[in-house]
Amino acid sequence: VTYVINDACVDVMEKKCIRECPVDCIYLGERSAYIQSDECIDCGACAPVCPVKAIAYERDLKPGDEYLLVRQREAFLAVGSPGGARDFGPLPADHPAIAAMPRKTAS
Amino acid sequence: VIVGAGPAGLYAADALTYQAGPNAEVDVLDRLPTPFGLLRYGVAPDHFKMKSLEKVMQRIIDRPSVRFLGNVALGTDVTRADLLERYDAVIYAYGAPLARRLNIAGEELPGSAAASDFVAWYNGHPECSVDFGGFVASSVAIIGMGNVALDVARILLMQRDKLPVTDIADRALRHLVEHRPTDVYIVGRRGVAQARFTLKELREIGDLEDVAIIVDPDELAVSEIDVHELAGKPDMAPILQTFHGWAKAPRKATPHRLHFRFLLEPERIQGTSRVEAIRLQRMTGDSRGVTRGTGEYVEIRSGAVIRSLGQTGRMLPDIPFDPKTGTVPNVQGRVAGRHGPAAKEFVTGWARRGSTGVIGNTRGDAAELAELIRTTIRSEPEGAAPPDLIELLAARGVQVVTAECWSRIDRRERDMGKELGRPRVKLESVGEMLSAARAVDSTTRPPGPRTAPQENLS
Repeated sequence: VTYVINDACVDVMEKKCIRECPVDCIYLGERSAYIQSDECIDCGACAPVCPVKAIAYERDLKPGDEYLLVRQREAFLAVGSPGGARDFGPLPADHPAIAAMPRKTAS
Repeated sequence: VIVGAGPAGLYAADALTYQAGPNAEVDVLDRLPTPFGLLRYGVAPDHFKMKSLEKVMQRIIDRPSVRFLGNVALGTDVTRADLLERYDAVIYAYGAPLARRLNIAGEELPGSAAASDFVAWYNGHPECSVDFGGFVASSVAIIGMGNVALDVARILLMQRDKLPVTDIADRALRHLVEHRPTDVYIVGRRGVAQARFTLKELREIGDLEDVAIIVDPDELAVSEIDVHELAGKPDMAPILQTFHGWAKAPRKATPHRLHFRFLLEPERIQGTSRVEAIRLQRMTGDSRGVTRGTGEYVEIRSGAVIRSLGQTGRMLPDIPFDPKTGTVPNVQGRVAGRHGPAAKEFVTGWARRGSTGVIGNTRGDAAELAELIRTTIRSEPEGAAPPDLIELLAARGVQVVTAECWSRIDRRERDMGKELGRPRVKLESVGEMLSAARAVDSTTRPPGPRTAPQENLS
């Protein structure tokens, strides 16, 4: 079980979650953040600090939103479990589905 | 220097030493010979994923610019003045070790205790003040509506074959496999709208296989009328759903029951030589969250009353303390002394905020604190510097537990665990820890000062 980031993060990336994560398992792509589910320890520190409510517990995903978990896992296919975002730096690429989304204009 | 090697202290050490550039050197003191604070002695033993944070914490201790100095108590082994004259910054991260009280008659009876004592007992804390090995109760009442209350209830009720695979203290394991209560009550003074449980922990208790969860639909309904409070807490909706689910569900046929009770205010703990029951006043709430007594009393028969009401700070000699909040008074992390903000003293974690928040929050705090220290503290020039703290402690006859000593304690515990197929078997007394710390290789040098401390920031 893990936490999952949804589309609310795309092009917003407030990054509040990143400093709260005790295992540093939230990685940045260019347009969205992604949680490395093998590194996540389910502590729940990230979800309440997100200003755009982009983070949900896997068990709380709405029916039909399970693809978010799959997408989040796929984002790490190329890099595996790097063991900490601070040392690893940003992911080489966003998930293709996110990269293909139309840009949100700054409001 | 950081006082307290729990998550708050170690994340502060991490934030101060991670960034590139002229790095700080940090000493982290702990009263106990072991680091990790509430991660080791608070987090429930069956929460394996949380416990795995030990690896992250250990990496911080192993960093060359971090020095762990265990078995060193502020106020007895070292004074505030000792620290202030040696370090450019002093960070207090010693948590909130004292349990809040009910302040009702009968609280002193055997069988009445704080949840933090129970947690310390099952986690093998060496200074646990209550021996729960004498607690034999088929019915236990827990007062409080937070996740610690759920931890206590879960450990009391979980299937016994699930315990030995954890690092639960041996003393607790021996007792708990023999005694499993039939009825556990989680009792709240206020309604479900004010409950502090989180959904994940509630579900976990719902997942206990052979435990029936009992919620009185009427009590739940009354406790829900605080619509004002609920409106501001959208996160409460799934929590309410969970309780409603339990209230409606057919009762599992099992001898182990967990009862959630709301709007009952403890009035008196009853019993002649030990706890036999708790008497509570039924409360009522209104739509604005005001709770008042109804004059109606109920009694819950229970052989033990465990209060889980949060923690408060401890006053340490010379260090500012606000008894009202139970914290070190501060302005954004900078200690506020009698004469305004202190020049180089800071506070983080529960010593700063009180006993709220999860471990991850301390990492966020640490990042801010490190930024504050970096921008406001200049390293003092090397003058006639007093001797290194280690030398001072040696002169005072304190047996300092260094990172290397701790690694021996750690290895010893893991080795004992390996034989039994457990993650570790914790040493339960400071004496055992110190002898494990001394043991093994005689080639070990006594801990000495590191290379000339050029910039002894913090």
